[in-house]
Amino acid sequence: MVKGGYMGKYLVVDMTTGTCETHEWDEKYLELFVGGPALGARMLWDMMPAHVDALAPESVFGFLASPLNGTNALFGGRYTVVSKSPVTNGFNDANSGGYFGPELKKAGFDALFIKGKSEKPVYLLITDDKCEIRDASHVWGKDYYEAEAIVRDEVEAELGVKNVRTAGIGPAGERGSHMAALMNDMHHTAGRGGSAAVLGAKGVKMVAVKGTKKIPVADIDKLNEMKKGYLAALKEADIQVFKDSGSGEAAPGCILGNDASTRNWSAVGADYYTPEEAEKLGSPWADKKYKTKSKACAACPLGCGALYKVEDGAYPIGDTTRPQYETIAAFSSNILVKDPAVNIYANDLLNRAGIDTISAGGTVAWAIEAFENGDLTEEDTDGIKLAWGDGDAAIELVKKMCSGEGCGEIFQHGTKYACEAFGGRGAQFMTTFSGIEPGQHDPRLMPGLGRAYKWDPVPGRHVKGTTGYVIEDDKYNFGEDGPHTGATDVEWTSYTELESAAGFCQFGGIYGGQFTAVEDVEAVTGLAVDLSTYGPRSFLMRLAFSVREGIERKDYTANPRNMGEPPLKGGPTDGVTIPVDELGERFYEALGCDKEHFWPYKDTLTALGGLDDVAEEIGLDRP
Amino acid sequence: MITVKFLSGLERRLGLSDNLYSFEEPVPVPFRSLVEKLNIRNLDSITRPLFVNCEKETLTFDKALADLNVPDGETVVIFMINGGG
Ligand code: SF4
Repeated sequence: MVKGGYMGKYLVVDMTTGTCETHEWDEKYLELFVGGPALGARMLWDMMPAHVDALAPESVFGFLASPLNGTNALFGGRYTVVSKSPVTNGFNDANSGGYFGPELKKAGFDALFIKGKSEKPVYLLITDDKCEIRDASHVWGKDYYEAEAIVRDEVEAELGVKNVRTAGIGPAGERGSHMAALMNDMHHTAGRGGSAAVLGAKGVKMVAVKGTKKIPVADIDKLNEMKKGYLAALKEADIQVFKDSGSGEAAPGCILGNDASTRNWSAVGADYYTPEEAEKLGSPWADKKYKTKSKACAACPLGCGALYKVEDGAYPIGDTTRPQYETIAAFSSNILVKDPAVNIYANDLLNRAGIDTISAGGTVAWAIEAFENGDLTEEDTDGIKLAWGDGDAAIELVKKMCSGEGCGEIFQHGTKYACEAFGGRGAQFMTTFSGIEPGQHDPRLMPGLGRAYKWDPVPGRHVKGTTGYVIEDDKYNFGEDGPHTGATDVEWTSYTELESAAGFCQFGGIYGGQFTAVEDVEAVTGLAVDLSTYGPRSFLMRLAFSVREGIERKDYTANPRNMGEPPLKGGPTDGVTIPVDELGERFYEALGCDKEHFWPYKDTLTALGGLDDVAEEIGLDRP
Repeated sequence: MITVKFLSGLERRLGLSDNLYSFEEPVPVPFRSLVEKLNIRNLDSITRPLFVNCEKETLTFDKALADLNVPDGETVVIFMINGGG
């Protein structure tokens, strides 16, 4: 029985009719899916007909606060967005930190689902147990930072309160860019999979929230005990560099060690970067010059975000935010740029436009390689002469993506769309997974990522469960006696499924020591979590949405280059090839799916509980 | 002279006080002997994600221990890959 962690209600807003309805949860759903991606997939399954276009009015967009949000569970500030992806045409989930999720719960709601289409731009204002649809004409077309400041200031003035929290879209989302990122609390993003295009298609610019309610916790003593444990573990872990400089502290090592992409995943980092050059790309170096303030998500003792003021160098853009590791790598070694000013400026431009920096960096890398090979010409790029290492040219292309003008009309949608629009030219250089540019961690170094990138229903993600997180002492063993068994993969994936559902930041897991998201969820909700059934149920619910859309094994695509075909020469991943299809087969077999489609058997779904109707609709009969 | 440098605060995780060490040694010197001289307290617990860059090449720590001989004038950079995010 659920004893805490939830407010017990969710909102459904129909933009076509202009109505807001409050619904009570079927408690069974909370017990089965806990929160986040799986609960979102289940709700989308119920609320959306199959095969509707991602941007059609019938399509549903969901915000899901997480059970840990607002409870003071350390690292428990992340919320999730769900929708159909305009890129993969399958399920999409993405998550973000900041304060939006906790505030939604303080207003009395665990989730918000938006359907239909408004005739004019609107924003939603959610306060204690209430939701209002308001005109947003005055902020439509404005960049996200500006629009958020306007809406927040006007709502705070009107209500006479402080700290109104917001989530919304930039101009890219308004235009339906397939790389559009959902932004919140200024610089936090649920960026992946084109989620913000779905919200934009509904005419919703933003959601502003202010609440005053308390979030119930099942076992506050246990939660406090865990808090002490986390803080003690953090002291031990020596996290000062991460605390000071955020995830970007990892950039120099990832570039030199071939974790970050080099030259669109085709080369070895140390062949292009000296240690001094790599160090200049790490945030500790940029912090010394530009950092003005640290920023943290709700209930986070690490605080890996920061504000910058840039007044020198190639792009003196003034006040901005510090790029995270992913953005640094995407706009440095990925395109062979050495000047940190490029990733800082690209980050600012893309955040304002509301575009996913990982996908944008991947798209620029693809365009450079296609241009170098003569597949793209200046005619395709509005005269921009793209070249490896040319930061100015990369920034010009980013500006086009952000404005959506000229060639930006094409490039704003990412690699896959652009390649198709150019008649398939440069297709051999597309390093996307089912059309999604991958995170900046290399499967050749962390083989389990190859399975997750290629075969997760939400492809290209570095946070979706892996085996073999680091190179295995120079020996890769992909045999059945090695670490890459389907069962191990399912086990790791099950944990990350719960982390996402809980709203638990993975950095908490990396640095926080003895406690895990399982104990957090149990203390907050009073539920008993059995990962061995929760994990597969969560994964298969996400998968089921995509299966119902007709997506099957042959639709999951990847460039062999990313798996080491041909292998890299030199560096720590010299000669490594990842047998990604085999890893996928083992994983899906261990989950109880068939090999041909990677679809679940009926009896697999029914055995997990709570999925009988899903089994009936998409489950296969076991031969 | 040979220099050993640790990136991103790795020296603290390894229980060392500085991020830069210089060695006047008869060269080339095996990387293994530099590591022994450094007397790294926590090495065993975090060997696997460690990497070594020397002469424009990156090796895993284990491979460097086994194979790397450091020539005069070189800087050996030791770093860790721990997820990035
Ligand atoms: S570690 Fe960083 S991303 Fe994670 S919760 Fe803390 S501030 Fe947010």
